Amino acid sequence: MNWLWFHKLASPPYAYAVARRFRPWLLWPALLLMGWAAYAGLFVVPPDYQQKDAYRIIFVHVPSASMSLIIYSIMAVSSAIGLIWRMKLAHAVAAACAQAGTVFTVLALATGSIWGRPMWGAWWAWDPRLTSELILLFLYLGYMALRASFDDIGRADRACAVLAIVGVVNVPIIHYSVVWWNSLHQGTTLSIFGKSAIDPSMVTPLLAMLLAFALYFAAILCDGVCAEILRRERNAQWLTKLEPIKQGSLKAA
Amino acid sequence: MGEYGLYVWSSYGLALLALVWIGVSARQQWRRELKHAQRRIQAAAQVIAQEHRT
Repeated sequence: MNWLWFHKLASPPYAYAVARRFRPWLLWPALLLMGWAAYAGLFVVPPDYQQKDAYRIIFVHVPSASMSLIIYSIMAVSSAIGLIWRMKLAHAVAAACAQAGTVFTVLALATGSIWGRPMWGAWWAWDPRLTSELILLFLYLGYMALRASFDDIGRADRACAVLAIVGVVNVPIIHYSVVWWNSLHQGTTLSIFGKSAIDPSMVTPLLAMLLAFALYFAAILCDGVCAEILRRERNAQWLTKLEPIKQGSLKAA
Repeated sequence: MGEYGLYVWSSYGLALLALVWIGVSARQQWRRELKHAQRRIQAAAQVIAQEHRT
């Protein structure tokens, strides 16, 4: 298999051009899919026999929680690539992921808390799933704080990479917490191998919202990576050839 | 939605706010870095032009 396309992504000007080109193709399908999934989740699918309409929070809670785990995993893999192959762009990807990952984690905790109030009678419980998700939030915040504390980008990259790689052990703990311990939180909703614990009529909007969130994150990542590349390539000659810089106007961006 | 309407709509509202915020924030970061790059390159071009004159 020809891996040239992958190695070319290590080149900042190439990666920049690819990110700018892909962004609209990721963003608009994400927004359309999100709109459809929200409409279906709120108005089309029937209410749950036990939780009635309260369960509709699942269509934002599960995708945000899933994204919080996926994004941290991406950060850890990018950091490992950056450390092993000394690819600066891999560190740029990890840095660009952090803010979105934090927001998805906060959203998962907040929507989970709002859902827990009518169902469990409490806004919060020191349940294994909730506690490990809270630890994930601290890891994201710690990553961003650590990055901000260094003046030198190279040292920041290495320190944050170690944190991301060590912290990734929390991801399987969050996922399997409902299996390993007695948990107030319900078990895994979707299952790739075997029967999902959700009615088939509810699966389609849930998967659609998850895909929408993933596409939206990918679109945001394009902007984040471009910002990181511009920050790191301050004195690079190729910047003079960028259209908005040649024209002296951000309207061309 | 009955008695659960407040919980459901506040969750969706929070999700919408969060998604808009990260989208706008990422876009603004990129535009800010682009502006900085523009200014640096224009300043460097002016310095080179002045050196040529002298």
